[in-house]
Amino acid sequence: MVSLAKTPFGFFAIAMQDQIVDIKKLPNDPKEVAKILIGNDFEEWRKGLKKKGMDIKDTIFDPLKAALLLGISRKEFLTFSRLVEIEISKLQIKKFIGKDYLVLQSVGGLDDLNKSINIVVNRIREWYGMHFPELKIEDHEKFLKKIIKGVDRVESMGIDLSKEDLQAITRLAEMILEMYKTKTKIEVYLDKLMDEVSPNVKALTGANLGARLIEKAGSLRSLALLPASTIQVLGAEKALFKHLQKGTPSPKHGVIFQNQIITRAPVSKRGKLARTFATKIALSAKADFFSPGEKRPELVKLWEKRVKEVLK
Amino acid sequence: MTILKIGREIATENLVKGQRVYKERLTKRRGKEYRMWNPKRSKVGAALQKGMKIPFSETWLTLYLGVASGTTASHISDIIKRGMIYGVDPAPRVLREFLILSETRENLIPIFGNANYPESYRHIVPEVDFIIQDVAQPNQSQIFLKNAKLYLKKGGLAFVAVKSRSIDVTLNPNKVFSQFKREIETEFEIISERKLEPYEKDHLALLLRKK
Ligand SMILES: C[S@@+](CC[C@H](N)C(=O)[O-])C[C@H]1O[C@@H](n2cnc3c(N)ncnc32)[C@H](O)[C@@H]1O
Repeated sequence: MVSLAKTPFGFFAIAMQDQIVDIKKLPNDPKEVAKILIGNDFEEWRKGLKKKGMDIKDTIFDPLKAALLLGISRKEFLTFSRLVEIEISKLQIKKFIGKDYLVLQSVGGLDDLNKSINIVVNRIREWYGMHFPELKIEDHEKFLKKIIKGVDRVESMGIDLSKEDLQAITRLAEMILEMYKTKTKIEVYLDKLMDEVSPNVKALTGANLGARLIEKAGSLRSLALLPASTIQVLGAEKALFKHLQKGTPSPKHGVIFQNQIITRAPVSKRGKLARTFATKIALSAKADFFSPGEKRPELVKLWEKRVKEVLK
Repeated sequence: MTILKIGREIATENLVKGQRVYKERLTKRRGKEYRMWNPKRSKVGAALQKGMKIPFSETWLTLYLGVASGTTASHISDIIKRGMIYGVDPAPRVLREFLILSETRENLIPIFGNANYPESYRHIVPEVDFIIQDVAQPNQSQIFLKNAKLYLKKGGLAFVAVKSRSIDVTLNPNKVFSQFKREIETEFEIISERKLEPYEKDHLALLLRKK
């Protein structure tokens, strides 16, 4: 049986606690070592040993003890490992910081898709309407699928179109269906992204609304710093502007009114619910920004409890 | 000694002259510079303030789970001088701050990692003399036991901050605390414990020794 050690100085195979039976030394440059340690060189090396028929233990050997076997001093070990791990952390942090910006771009991308879909579908409806004005299917996707499949056009007031004429329309329809698929894929991606970027807000609002709030605020940081009263009207900027300019009633409806519980509540209770909801969102955003990784399920529970009280 | 009582407060001798890590006050005593240790910002500070005694040594290798931006770690760094602190945290923003601090102190190592997966930092962390855990997670005891098993030497010490609200908000904190103790007591001896009021609400600090 041999134990393996993965250290900043090299990979070791050690038999009987102190016999180095195989070794792959690493370079002296901390930056290079960092890249090797986060890559899969160690795994490759281990596989190589296995192929040679070595009987390898699952647990990884203490890296300092391994280094001592090679004649490296404790002081050297500590000094060098520190430089290496600083490089590793730099590489990894770089990958993670600013992921809320990806949320912003995804939300923007979805908006663009929706706008484009709407423009083109309206065109298709008008175009196809020349041919078959009686076809009434409100749902865009169903409508497009239907015209691609082709319809029996009996007793229509529309004009006849050749195969070629129709093909021009259905090509466009096919592209839009493709865009719907893309939209779904981005939504799935955004859902996962929100787990990473803002899990507590997501637990409370769902991925779409949570992402929308981050987009409206400009970043997770700004959302975390906004007071609940502003979160409540995020997305109602136009109405807010009018209110400030012309003294119209202050807006109570920001994007948080997309929440189903609030939408379905009696009108008289919506304001109260929106206020509570905004408070919990503010707390969740703070948790996600200031102590990332910390789960706060009690915020959802408190919100649910409050909903019951208000709707009673 | 590097920990000093100044009136009712405590302070550590600054390892990096002139450096302030979290806007703490600096003060001179007998020609040496000290950093005041704010018990409201640090659970180890709070426990010491409440009379817990930790027999630190200047060569201790320390694994710190949930190091955050390094507020507490900076004082431990003052104390253990020639030792090393392996600070683990999965939150990129706070770990970045700890990384910047680590570049100024030769006994700090930032590890961007998750204490739920102790093997993931085995390439760098050797057997240690001391573990500090302050992760505020529901599965705190599990996280602690896994790490202690892999890294803490026999007879080694551990400081654990138990936050009852992170484990179960609905339970009485005392219940959560005794449950935590039961979960670790086969492997650990409890040397001392302190509630952290008035500095922290519903927190218990434990000093443990690995059997
Ligand atoms: C209360 S703060 C720690 C404050 C720090 N100990 C101090 O006194 O300066 C809790 C930290 O635990 C971290 N944390 C949460 N889950 C963790 C895990 N699984 N592994 C390591 N750290 C974790 C959080 O990212 C957060 O930075």
